[in-house]
Formats: sequence, C-alpha cells, structure tokens
Amino acid sequence: MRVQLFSSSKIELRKVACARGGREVFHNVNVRLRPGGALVVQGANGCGKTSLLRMLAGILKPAHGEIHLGATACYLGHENALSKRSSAQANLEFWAKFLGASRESLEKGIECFHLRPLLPVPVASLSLGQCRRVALARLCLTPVKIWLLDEPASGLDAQALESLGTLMASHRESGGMVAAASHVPLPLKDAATLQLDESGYHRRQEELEPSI
Amino acid sequence: MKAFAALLSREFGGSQLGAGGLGVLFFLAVVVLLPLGTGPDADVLARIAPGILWIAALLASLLGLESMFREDFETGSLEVMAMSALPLEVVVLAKCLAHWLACLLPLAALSVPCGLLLHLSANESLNVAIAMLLGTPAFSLFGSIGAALTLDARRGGLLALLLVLPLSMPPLIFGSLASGSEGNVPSLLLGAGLSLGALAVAPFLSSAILWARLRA
Repeated sequence: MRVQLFSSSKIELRKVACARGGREVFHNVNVRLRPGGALVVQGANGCGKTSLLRMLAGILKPAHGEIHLGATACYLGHENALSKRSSAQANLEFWAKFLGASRESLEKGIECFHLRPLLPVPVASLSLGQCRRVALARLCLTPVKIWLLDEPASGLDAQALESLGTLMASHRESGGMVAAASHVPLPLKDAATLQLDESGYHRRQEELEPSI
Repeated sequence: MKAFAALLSREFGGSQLGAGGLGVLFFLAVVVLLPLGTGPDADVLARIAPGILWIAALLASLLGLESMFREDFETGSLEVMAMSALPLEVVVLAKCLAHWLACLLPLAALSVPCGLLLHLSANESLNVAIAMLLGTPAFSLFGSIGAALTLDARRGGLLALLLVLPLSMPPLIFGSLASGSEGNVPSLLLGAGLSLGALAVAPFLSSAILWARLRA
C-alpha cells in the first residue's frame, strides 16, 4: 500500500519548453523524479532555472510539454516571504498558523536552523543568511512531499548548510522529493543533475531511481 | 478557517491598523476644516455634511489600499499564499475584511459624533453611520481591484483610486442619499446590495489580476 501510494507521487516533465518575454529559454527538458529523489538544476544566469522551478510550482505555465506533479509542492523562491516589520518569531508563527502546522513542527524548524536566539529580532535587522535560515524553517511547517528550492544556500554559513543537508536527507528518507536550483554545491546525496545551458538546450537527461 | 483567521489578524495588526489610524485623523481633519471653508451656517453644513462625510471616508480608505498587497508581493509572501491550500480569492477577502475593519469601520462609528458637530440631528447622524456600515464594504472590495492593478506602481494608492473611482461612484451616491434627513430605505438597501455585489465579484477579479502578475 505504502509503495503504491508513493508510486503515484512523482515529478515528471516531458519535453517541457519555457518562453519568457517571447524568447525561448529552454526546450526539450525531460525529468523524472521518484519518491526519495533529488534534482539539482544548474546553469548560467538567465538560463531558466528559476522559471523551471516556478513551472513545477504551478505558477508559470510551460510553453510546450507536460508537467505532472503527483503531490502538492512547497516552493521557496529567491525572496524569503518574511515581513520586515515583525520579528522572526511573529513571521514563523504566522506561517505556522497559515499553513496549518503544529507547534511541534514549528519547534522542529526553529531547532533545526538554530533560530532560538534570533526569534525576538525584527527581520529588518537580520543578515541575509539569517533571513534565509528563518525562511528555510518554513519547510518544516508543511507536510508536502515535494520541495522546490531556489538557491536555498544563498548566504548560508557552513553550519546552516549542514542543517539544510540533514533536513533534506530526512525529508527524502520519508519519501519526499527535492528539486533545487543552485550555483553552490548542495549537500544532496545521489542527486540527478539537470544542466541548462545558455543556448537554450539542456545537455543531460537524468532519471533517478528511488533511493528508498 | 484557521489560516483565514491568522491572515486576518496579521493584516489587521500589521499594516492596516496604522493606515486606519491615519485615516481617522484625515477624517477628523476634514470635519474640522469643513466649517472653516463653508462658514458656520448651520443649514448649509447640515445639508452637505452627509456627502462630505462619505467623500472623506472614500478618500481615507485609500490610505490602506496601497499596503494591501504590496509588501506581500515584494517579499514573496503572496506567492506562498497563492500556492497554499487557501484559495487566493479567500486571501483577498481576508485582506479586504482587515482593510474594512481597520480603515472604514472606525469612520462609520465616528460619523455619529462628527455628524452632530456638523449640525446634523442625532437621528440623521445615526442614519449616516448605518448607511456607512452597510455601504462602505464596497469601497474595500472594489479597492482591492485597484490595489491589485497597481501592485508595483509608484504612488499606487492614488492611481488605484482613479482606477476604481467609477466603481466607487454608485456606493457613494446611494450611501449619501441614504444618509439624508428622512433616512431613505431604498437607497440604504441599494448601498447594501452594492456591497454584496462587490463581495461576489471583487475577490475573483482581484485574485485573477494577482495571478496574472505572479505569472508575468
């Protein structure tokens, strides 16, 4: 039963093309990701990494091709979705209530990214990396299986990057999937790589077998 | 429902309360300045007071419109909300409700003492308040359309007003008619009906505009 349930939740992209502002950014992207899998999207600036993730999130529509998502996704974009005027705690508590998360999962997120000392600080006074850590804690607040992370490691220090790695590993162990765009190496074991290059083609097609 | 309540309390306590406070000061300033402009003639003041109170409420409601979606759009929060289990239409509705509670409900309450100051009778002042209570939700709801359209425009608040001005005219007309001396019940009902009509249309329009903006 468990296996059946999981086999229905996967990410599949078939011959997906993306056009932005009348210009084709990439085409013929094929990806299949099974539960427990991870995908790292790489490429130069402007090659469509963010667009690909936003397509997966359902915000953008592909110009051609099909996208199948077997489950709802949690999208963490460039922006941290934090109100600058309130404290880190107020922000996290709002998102916990808004996303219907339990008190425990909020605590888990706070512990995971060592946010306890930052909680009373207004977001406007936090550094870039600290803001990113608060935003990443939001991942603990949703039970969704698919995480779409746009440059999750931007501004993170070594310790926070390690925490992110641990969190992503435990997410994948429980059947979750991670698709991330990143310029820096992410602590993702056995991740498939999708290389989008400047000319708009992508070089490699990857298929990932379930790691569970 | 929990998500709606969380959003409502954040919106109310966050940006809208400040805008509402400013709106109250603006409203009071209009009431203080009006007799200076027209002269203290009681008959003239009593005749134009309901209309002036309504126009002041409409303009004061603008102060909160600008912050309705802007910060959430800039910080990426709107994207997260759009992807959450709560439909974007309901998110818009929560923001409109917070705007109305913070920016327009206090003005409806204040219109009683302000009406008295402008030589309206107690009964007439109460009529203004009741008409505002029923009619002003349309300002928040139609205003959300303007706020969504002017998401990242400079001085978006004023531009939003110009865009939704045609939509705000019917509530203004029936509202000030209902605030007249006898208490015009058909106008009062028409004003309330316009609020209900706005409730049926505006959240869908606003969320469609916001989706288009997120997809751009």
